[in-house]
Amino acid sequence: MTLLEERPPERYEAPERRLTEVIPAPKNKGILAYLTSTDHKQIGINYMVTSFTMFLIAGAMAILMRVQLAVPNNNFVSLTTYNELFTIHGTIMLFLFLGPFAFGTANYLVPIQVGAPDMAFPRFNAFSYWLFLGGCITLLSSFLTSSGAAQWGWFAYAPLTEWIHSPGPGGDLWIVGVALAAFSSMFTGINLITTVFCLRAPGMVMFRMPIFTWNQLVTAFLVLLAFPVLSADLALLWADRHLGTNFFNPARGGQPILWQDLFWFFGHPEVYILALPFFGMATEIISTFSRKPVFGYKGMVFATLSIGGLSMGVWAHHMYTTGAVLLPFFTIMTLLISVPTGIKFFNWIGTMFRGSVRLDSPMLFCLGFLVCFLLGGFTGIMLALPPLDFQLHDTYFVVAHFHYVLFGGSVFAAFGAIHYWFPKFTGKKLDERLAKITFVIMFIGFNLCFFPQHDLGLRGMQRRIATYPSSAGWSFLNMISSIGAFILAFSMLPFLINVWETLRKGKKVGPNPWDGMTLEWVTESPPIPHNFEFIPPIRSERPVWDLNHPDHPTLPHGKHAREMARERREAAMAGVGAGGALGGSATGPATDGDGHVNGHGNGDSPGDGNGSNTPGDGGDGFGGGSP
Amino acid sequence: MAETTGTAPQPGGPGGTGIGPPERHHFLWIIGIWVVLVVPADLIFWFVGGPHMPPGTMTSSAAGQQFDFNVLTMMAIPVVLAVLVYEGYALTTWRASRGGPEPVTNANSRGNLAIQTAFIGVSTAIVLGAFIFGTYELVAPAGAGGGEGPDAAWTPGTHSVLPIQVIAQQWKFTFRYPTFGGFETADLVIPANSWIAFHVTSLDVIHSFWAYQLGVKADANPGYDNIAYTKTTGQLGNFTIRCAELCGIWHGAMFDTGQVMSVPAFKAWAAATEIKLAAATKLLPPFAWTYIPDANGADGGYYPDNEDPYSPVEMYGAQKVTVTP
Repeated sequence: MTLLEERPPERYEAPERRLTEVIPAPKNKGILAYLTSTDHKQIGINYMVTSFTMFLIAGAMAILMRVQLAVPNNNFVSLTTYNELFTIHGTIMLFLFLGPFAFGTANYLVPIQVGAPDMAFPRFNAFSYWLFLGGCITLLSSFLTSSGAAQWGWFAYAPLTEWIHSPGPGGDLWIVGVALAAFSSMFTGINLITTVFCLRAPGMVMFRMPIFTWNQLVTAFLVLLAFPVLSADLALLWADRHLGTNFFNPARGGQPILWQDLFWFFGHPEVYILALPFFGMATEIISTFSRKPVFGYKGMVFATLSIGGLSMGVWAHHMYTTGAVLLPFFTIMTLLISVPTGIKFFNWIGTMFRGSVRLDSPMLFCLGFLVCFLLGGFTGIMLALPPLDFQLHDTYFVVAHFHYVLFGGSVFAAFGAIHYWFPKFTGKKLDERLAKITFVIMFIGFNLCFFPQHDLGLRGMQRRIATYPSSAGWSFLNMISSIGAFILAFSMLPFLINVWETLRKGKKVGPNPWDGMTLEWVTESPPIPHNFEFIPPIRSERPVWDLNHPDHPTLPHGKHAREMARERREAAMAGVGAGGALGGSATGPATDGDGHVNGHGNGDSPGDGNGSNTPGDGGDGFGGGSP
Repeated sequence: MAETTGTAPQPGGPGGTGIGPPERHHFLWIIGIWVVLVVPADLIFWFVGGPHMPPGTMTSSAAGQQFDFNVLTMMAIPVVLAVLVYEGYALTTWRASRGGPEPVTNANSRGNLAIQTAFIGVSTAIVLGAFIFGTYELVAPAGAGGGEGPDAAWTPGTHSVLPIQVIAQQWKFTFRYPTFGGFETADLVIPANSWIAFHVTSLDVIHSFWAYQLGVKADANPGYDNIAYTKTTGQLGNFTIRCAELCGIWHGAMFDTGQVMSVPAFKAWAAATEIKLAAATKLLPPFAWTYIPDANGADGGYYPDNEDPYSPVEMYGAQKVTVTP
């Protein structure tokens, strides 16, 4: 798992000066920095800010929809506008918010967490962002066309999407916008995988990588498996609309269900692409705020890998009612995926067990994430059973289910991540009081908005209807849901005020205000251009904790614990101190105002027995990070 | 998290420093609180809420769905309560603000193979149980109400099944009764205590036929015969029909009401309707399980359309019929 053993014996050789010596480019500032930067941190910020803006836009669309549905027989928006709203709302949330936001955090954090100075392909990385921004602009511009934006829902079932049923450039811009986002995602996936495999710092073996980075790695592989299928699907649709082909046209032998198969072959891994990075964020936060290592670290890793693998085989559970699905196969595959997901859940709460739990705002959001995601996960199990799916498919029960998974799960974790890493991004910490107010309002609003939708679905309200008769018996629950939506939207106000005020007036905090455990917390806030002047010895998945808490190091477990105990006994019998046998030498780390290590220094940290902790190999810090 | 499992409480709190009072057994407390909450919650749901859960008992498939939902909810309540109780316990017991010492950092704090393996075993068993339960509920009724395609795997073991063709198009459902001369009507009427086979197809885009109280849902795919079986009970009355798949601008307006009649009443209705619609039936294309949509994609070439402005390009589907007054 590591290249460490394969490194040649270290001996100092004076570097030969070459004509290719890197001369730092002049540093741009302001808008020019934004436009020209290839720094992964700037690109990460670009991704996050852009995708969050798209989140606010799509959220505003959701509010318009909830106004329309608040009362029966409403005419607040036209039928056409309503269809445009839910189509673009879903498309933005899935393609242009959650995924790109996750890529933004990956861009910013993954290179730092593995001890690298940048992503593997910085210019390619910038290109990915510009493609994504192009996708955003393209999609939103479809509202300006004569035909309006696409009106076929975010999963765009053919043949409704054929030209004869949905003519006009609005649909074409939807296809192009989504395709641009898809290519952006694929390029980012390539970049992430290369970065993780090729740029890890010495000592950062695979099983010492933070869970966040692991999850981003698996997500990147899923992107490379799923998004090409989506791209092909979009190309076929474009060809049907403009080149006279008939892939999905039943009038000339095309197969509409082919679209569904291809789309969901992408679409279900996409759900995990939108979930796994946020699982990683929650893992880091819960561990930090419980002041404990992740319980069952390797179990978490294998659970992530299992989720990634199984997610490629469950696509047709979205298609139970088509009559073209081998139901038991997809039932068992779908149910099996709940096992590794359950492992993750178990390990999250196991991490809290007998910890020292701090209820700071990131942890609050993660506790909300645990509750909401649990509900979403369990309704997912219900929907996996075909007889129940026959009743609940395409109803508001499903709408509630996936909002509990993707908002209650991913978005709550995303807000936890924003509050957690904001000091790293900006050097300033968000105001805790406003952050907690944000959480409380968001949690209440979210549940008030989406919990009644379970009941609406059970009472027979199908998705994507612009209005309903008063006799349907859905009026009260819809009103409650709409009130919840307004409260949810209102929760953005304290958050945005908090961000604004903190950026303007916030006090500088040190590099590690939360007592974080992974490598990003050892460098400056925000990090210097090449990220590190110093990297501590990496002997476990939380090297910064080991550095800052030599009295509570991350201990090995399992057979490694037994081996370590034996070594200690042998060392004691030989009259040699165990610390000297197991750790590098200490040279007095510099500390910041919080007492945490902040500068060049060497820790006295134990090995974790993962295969490369030969005594003393972690004694030195490594500037720059590239092997 | 396993450090307290099966072991005596460690003195001195999480660190086991030997200072302070003995620590209580967390698992027993959590399980105790959980049991106190779960038992009444499950009982109340099963006996009070469960019998009233939709979609009711108008057909065997609807009753099956109600039963399935209640069973799954009974499973969900303990799991959800377990997490809520755990979180509540953790926040009241292990809050840093209560001045606790540094958390445990012994080897078990990073994982415990026995506990983790046990969890995987238990969760896998639950999942396999859910799979067996769900598959049994799908197969055993030989008609769970869902579309099973043209070659349904699980069909009723009787030949006495009433076939009804559901034809979906933008934006209405019509129904053909092939065993009554193939007449087509906008009214869906079915007999009580009978097996029904809904043959669902579409003339244009994808729709989804959803008879809510019957517990029947089957996608209407153009050029595709999607069969859904169900068996009506003795319950008579109306049921709601809706389109469940987005099919265009008037998707939400695509709803109707059907009716379950007694068998004699149904036979009388069918015979009378067959006679009443005989002239119109002759104008329909020959009965088939599917109708290939035409080039304009609007009506599937199903209806005679001399007035259709797209007729010159209509190359597919049914032959054009010249209507003489």
